[in-house]
Amino acid sequence: MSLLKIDGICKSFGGLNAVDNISFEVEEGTIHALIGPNGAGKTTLVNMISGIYSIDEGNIFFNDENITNVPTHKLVSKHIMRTFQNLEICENMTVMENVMLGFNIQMSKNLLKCSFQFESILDDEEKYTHIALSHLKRVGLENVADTLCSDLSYGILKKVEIVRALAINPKLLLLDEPVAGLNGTETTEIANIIKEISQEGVTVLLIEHDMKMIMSISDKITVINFGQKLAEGTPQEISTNPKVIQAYLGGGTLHA
Amino acid sequence: MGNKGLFLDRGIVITIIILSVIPFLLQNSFHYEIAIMCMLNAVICIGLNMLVGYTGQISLGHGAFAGLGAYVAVILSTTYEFDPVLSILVACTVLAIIAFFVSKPILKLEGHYLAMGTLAVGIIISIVLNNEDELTGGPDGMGVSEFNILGYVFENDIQWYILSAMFLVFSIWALQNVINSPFGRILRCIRDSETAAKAIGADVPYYKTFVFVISVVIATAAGSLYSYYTGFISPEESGFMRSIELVVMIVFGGLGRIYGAVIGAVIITALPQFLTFLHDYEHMVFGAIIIFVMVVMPKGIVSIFDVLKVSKDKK
Repeated sequence: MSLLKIDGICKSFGGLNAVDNISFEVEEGTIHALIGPNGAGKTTLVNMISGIYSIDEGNIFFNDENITNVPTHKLVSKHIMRTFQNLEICENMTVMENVMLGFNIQMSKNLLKCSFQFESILDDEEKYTHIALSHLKRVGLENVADTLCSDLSYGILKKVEIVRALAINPKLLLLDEPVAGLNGTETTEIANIIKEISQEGVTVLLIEHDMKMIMSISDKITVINFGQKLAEGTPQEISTNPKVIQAYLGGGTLHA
Repeated sequence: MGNKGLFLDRGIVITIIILSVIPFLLQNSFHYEIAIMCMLNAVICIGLNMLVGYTGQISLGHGAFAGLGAYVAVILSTTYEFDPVLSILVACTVLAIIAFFVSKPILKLEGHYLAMGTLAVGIIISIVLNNEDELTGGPDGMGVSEFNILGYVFENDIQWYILSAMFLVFSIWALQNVINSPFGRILRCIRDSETAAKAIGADVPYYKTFVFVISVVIATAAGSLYSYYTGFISPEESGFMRSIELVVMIVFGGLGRIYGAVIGAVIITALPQFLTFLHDYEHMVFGAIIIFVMVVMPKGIVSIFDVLKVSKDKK
């Protein structure tokens, strides 16, 4: 059964059709990759799914529920979470605090209780700090838990963003270029993390330019170009699809 | 575990100690006035810091809100003979409602535009207070009825000192709790990245409005208390310069730092009084000190403590 169904969505900025009548479905529990040349409309598409951009036409269904134009902050309670191409990390907060933000919807934010430090608030804090720490341990970041994010490298912050997304306990995780700008080791680490979370039942929609990673971890690939869907299929099908090779890979064959 | 809610950290204990020592150093009524003014300004700054320093939303209109709130309370208790405490509560409610409706359109603005917007609101309030002289006494101001809590009359400086000190300590304690709670984390997240705040499920406009209203309510409470203490109120206290002064206090002390707001308020309030021996050069030296401190410590006075901490850790 498809978890996310995108049905003919369109978005234009002025005269430019950034996303033009795209439809595809993301099966539950898979890693679905979205690829395309720069400016193809990948990030626009993710911004539309995650409610940051409004949708001009078409519908998006999550678990058969229409989530078209649902504001971003309401998607979290449906367990849809995303990361960003250009980090959206709170730089003046520690790694731990950033991860704790991921528990936002589960924690009580009653101002009165917070200002008088009710016991329930402190207990919650303790409980979720514990969970956050176990998430951080999993990706090997427990040592930097109390470090300010502004003092950390780009590669670590990319991981912090994924951990924060995991804290929400997502059913659908939208990863917008999680390994852009990272070196080989970091890329492998993140690829492994993505594989792991997928095995735990999280459905992943992955945007990436790193072909090696895409080909090795994704179950299905959708290719878009100039805001339109070009092809869809398994990594093998895509790597041999002549349309894709011509439009996106510029001739030659693709190494799986 | 049972009473961990009442846990007081080192900063609060030191503040309480300092506040209890200061009365022994104060020799006359004028000294008390400066001390009380420092403390009540510090309270306003704590609220403003929550908005500007922690949530990242600038306001150049808080002096006007504090003044308007004080006027509402004072008019109720002086002209209409309401109980003073009740008047302050009514003023807080009225200002909360005003702040709510003002914040709806104005907090859609960001950065410099928000500064302009809040500045304009402040100026409008100031004009209203100056012109509605039947209610406010116009530019000459008006006298204020005496202050009492359930019949207990506040008439000497020590009583006012204790009341202000308690208010200040409570504000520091409560803000500290809020900032380290899930609520405060969202505020800081909004400051650093609104997109991230949305992505983790926070309704950003709701939080901005909430904090704006709270900071206005705190300013109202402290502003009214100050008017009751001095026994007089004039529109000058709600003017443009007053709003700027409040922002200078928190920036000077340290944006987004709890004690930054307090230290900034104390220094900016008290320093001019210490400089009076310079006569004509007073303002010049005051300005020079502010410029010097901001150049050397762009993150405010409290950044001294960070430097001290780092050098201590190295040893």
